Amino acid sequence: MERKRNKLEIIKDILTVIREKNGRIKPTHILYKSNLSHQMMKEYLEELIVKKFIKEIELKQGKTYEVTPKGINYLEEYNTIVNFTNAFGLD
Amino acid sequence: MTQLHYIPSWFFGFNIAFEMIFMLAAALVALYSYRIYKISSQKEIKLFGISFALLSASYFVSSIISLFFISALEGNLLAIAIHRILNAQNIAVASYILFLILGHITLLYTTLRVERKRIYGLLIAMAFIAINFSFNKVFMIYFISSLCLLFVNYHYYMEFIKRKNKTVFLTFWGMFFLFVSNVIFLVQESSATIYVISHVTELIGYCFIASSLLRVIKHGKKKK
Repeated sequence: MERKRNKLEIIKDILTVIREKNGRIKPTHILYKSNLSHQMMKEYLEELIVKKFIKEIELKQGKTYEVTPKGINYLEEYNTIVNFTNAFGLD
Repeated sequence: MTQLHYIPSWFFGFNIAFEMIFMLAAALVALYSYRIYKISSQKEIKLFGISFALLSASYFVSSIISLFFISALEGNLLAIAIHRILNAQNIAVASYILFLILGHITLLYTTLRVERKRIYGLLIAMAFIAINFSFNKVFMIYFISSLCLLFVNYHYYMEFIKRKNKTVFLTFWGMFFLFVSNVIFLVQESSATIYVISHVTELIGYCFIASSLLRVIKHGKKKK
């Protein structure tokens, strides 16, 4: 059985999915690739927008998402964040 | 007049150096937490940083108190007292108590993972009401701190069992020694040597915590 992902991992997975699609992706693709329920994905996307990790772009075809420099920095520093949260029991 | 600390006169000066080391170690943890918080925007990391910033402030105020407000008792004994009247020393001692208790409660709240502001408020209110109405305020201050650290220790023990990781192991021992140093403070009235033992124990605790943090920083640099 697979280990349950924590919040930091889920955020990393969502940001990675968005970045892999050249920075722009539709919500349905995020849902499919990030392996989350629709409700969970909605909550995470809202949180990531509020925290300025991603930005929502309204197009004629619908909403798409783009990773911000802050989101890219999160991915680059992910291992440091995980080491810190593991060391001090914060995840 | 209530005595906050009984300090052997030979230890005066060393105690300030110890408190400066504690202040720097706690500030280092707070600053690194802030850096990680800026990257991750995770609330628990922010709270953890705040708790160490408060503890760092308490050590800073404590060293100021030791420098300016110490008075000689009989023999080779120095003391820091809590006066009834409002004066600079009283404000400094009150700030020390405020930072120390808030620091420990914030650390406890972070490790409890409850995310309810009302619970945080309740913990703070109960602690200060207990201190205010206690006959032995000094005992109550260190009793509350010890109680907070006992629960914090349980959290780190469970983390160590879960992860079996050397860095968590260091953090656990660090928190354990901080807990022990607070427990030792509970009986400080019995002998002035207790103050020295408590400071040495606290130093060991901060050495473990600093080692844990340095491992994280070193690992982070390697990855880059």
